[in-house]
Amino acid sequence: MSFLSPSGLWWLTAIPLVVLLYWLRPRRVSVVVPSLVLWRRSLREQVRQRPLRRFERNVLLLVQVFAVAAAALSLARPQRSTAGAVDVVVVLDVGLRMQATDVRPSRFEAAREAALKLLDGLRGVRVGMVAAARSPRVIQPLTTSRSDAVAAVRALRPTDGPSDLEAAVAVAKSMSPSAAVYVFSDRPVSGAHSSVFGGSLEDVAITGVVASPLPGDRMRVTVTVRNGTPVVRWVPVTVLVEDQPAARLAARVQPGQQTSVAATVPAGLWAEARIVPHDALPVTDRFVALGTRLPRPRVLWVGPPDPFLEAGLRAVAGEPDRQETPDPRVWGRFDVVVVHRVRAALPPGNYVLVASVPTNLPVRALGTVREDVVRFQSRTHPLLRFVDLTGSRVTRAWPVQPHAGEVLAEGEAPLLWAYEAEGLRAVLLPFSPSDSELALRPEFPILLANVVDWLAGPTSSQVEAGSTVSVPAGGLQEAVLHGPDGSRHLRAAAGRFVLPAFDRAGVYVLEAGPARRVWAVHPPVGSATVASSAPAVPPQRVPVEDWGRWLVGMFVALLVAEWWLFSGQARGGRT
Amino acid sequence: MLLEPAFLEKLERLRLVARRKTRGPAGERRSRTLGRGLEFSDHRAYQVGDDWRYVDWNIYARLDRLFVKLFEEEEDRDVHLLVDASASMRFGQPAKLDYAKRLAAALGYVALANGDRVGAAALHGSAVRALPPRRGRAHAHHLFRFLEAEQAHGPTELEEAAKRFAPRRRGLVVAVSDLLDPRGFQAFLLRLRHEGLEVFVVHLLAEEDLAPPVTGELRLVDVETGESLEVTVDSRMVAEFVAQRDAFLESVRAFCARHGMAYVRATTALPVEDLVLRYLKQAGWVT
Repeated sequence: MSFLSPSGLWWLTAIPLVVLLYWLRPRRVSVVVPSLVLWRRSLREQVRQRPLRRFERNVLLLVQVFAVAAAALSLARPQRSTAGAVDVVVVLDVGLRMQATDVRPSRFEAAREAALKLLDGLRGVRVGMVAAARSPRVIQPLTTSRSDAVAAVRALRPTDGPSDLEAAVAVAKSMSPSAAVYVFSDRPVSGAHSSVFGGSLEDVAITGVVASPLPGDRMRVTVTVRNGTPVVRWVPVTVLVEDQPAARLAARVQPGQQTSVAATVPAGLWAEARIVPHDALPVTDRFVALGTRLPRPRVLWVGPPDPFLEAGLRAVAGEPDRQETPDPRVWGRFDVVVVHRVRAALPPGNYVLVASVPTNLPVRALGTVREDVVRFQSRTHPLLRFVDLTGSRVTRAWPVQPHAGEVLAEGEAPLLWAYEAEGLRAVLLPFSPSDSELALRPEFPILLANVVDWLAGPTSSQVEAGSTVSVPAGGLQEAVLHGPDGSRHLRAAAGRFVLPAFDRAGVYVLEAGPARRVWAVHPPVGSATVASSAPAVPPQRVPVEDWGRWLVGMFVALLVAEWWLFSGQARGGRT
Repeated sequence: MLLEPAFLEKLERLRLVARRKTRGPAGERRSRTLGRGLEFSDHRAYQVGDDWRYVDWNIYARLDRLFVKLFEEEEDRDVHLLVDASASMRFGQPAKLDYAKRLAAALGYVALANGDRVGAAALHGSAVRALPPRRGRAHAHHLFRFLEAEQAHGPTELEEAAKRFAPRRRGLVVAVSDLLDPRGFQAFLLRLRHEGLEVFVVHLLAEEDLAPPVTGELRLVDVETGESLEVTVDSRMVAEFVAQRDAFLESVRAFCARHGMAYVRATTALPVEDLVLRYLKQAGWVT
């Protein structure tokens, strides 16, 4: 049971006052009578016939006390959920479509207000909140604090990403098996009480932007526009390169179809297309894609040169920096450090160890082996994706005995070992590429690309809004993330920078030391198609059993009983 | 002045009627018995043991049979007026005691006017203040003064008072009381009867005795004992009181009837003149 207005319970303090007034009421009137003989007989007879007679006065007091209690409780508006649920979990859709303004001021604002109204009617039950984004987010664990839940709802903002209502409902139900789940979205979902906001939506949207390189430091930007309206639309398209207008196009799009238009623009880090269709979902009118001038990972070569490996790295990551004399103090500032035939203790960072066995990793060299062949390799590790090393011959190797990490390929001895610890990632090749035929195999550049990606992470990506990523921190502890919502300072945790979810479409740039990583975040493709086919369902309230009316009735009944008892005495007075 | 002259004049024409023969000495009250009287009444046949002096020799001479003459004997009767003067008798409008004093004065005057010896006693709890019986109209003055001086006080202890009231001669006793004795009225009346008195009971009640004075949350205080009783006087209580009152009145009436006592119930609302001249006549107390 809960109370809608708990402050009404303060009226219960009137009960002692009633009792006090009862005891302080005027005393009995003294009347001198000729004799008590007949009175004693009458009283004795009444008590004999009605044993409760002597308690009638106390009954009057009890009725008064109950009446005050009923009035106080009715003012407190007690209620009990009849849904049988002890907990209530509210799922609020924060997906892209909730930004549509076909419902004023927007679907999201309307849904949030309805959710707040629902919360306002809840007392005494635990409330949890789940934001239905690309992946569900528990923004408020189950709590009895209504203010916390309200604050959590008010702090929510719609994202530019998709929403997974089913997953959100599953998460909500996992919070409490007995929970009643209330979903506020633009579409109904099974297994929960759905409140739907918004109906059919006609939207013209950009569904894709692709930049492809052209000679002469230029690139071709292809923009795909989809027409979700029932009429043919001429859609002006503006193409920007790194926020600078680069081209203007126009696309004639048939109803329900999509059309691509292309423009040749100067090469850049990213390209953006914009349209102004004046529809109800402006967020789909903008699309950001990576350009062709992308940043490459910064690689440091430490040790004597190796022409095979250097050629492969040059193809993957460009020309590496070189350090003839090992200086581990600066290694952490590079995305990847190649340590060739150097025995040293490794500071935090990302390393390719070639014929080198560091002193501070759980691995030790066992000597020299000649003529080994890769017989087994991992089929699941990302380092060996699209790579088959089996059968590769190694003429000379320095076999190692690892105590941790993972041996990814081996023959007589381990030939590829990967190790990951907090702040440090390392890939060990216990042989020189010049001592094997590996460098001659077509998988070698792929292997190097996988190695660089695994060690340093991608330096640029195009992702859907709502995605979350983390990147290796290397030897760095701090980084700055620049995005559409401004800049944020990040600290490395467990050797990685965990970036907040990309809730806004746009360009995100992570500056970590001298390295830069770029993400082009776009709205979910296909989200503009749009339309909630389900009719709008009025917001629901938690079904509750309001006891206030019963208590008011009881209060009135008690007043009538009080009046009846009192008038019984009054009738005696008129006799 | 207890009684008005006009009322006294009416009382002089009345006589108290005894319901059984008084075995007192001869007096002014006539009794149809043999001899000792002065006024001839009748003849009857001679019976063995009759006094020869009352044989009517003239009839013997004519009829040759013996007849004796009957004379109306003058009875000498005591009339005792018992007035309950306990504190409860101050209730009523007029007060029960005032009413009782006037009634006793009236009946005493009737008795004195008919030659009876009239005495009076006021009962204050177990104490008795008495006026010895005297004959003669002049005694009416003493009787009236005695009654006028009475004030209501003290508890009601009728039986104890009856024990202290010890008449030297038998006669007739008129008890005027509300009979509201916590210990009961029966022993009181039986005591009078055992004294050989013919008992006349005037059950005098005031309006306060017949109905509750007020209703509500009351603390009833006994005027005589000071005891209190907390009651809620509502309609049910009033009904119960009325039932108990009626039962009490009926018990008194039935008791008197069962023991051959004359009983009259009166309230102070009834004028004394009406009670005496009308209702007591109807009841056969006076003629």
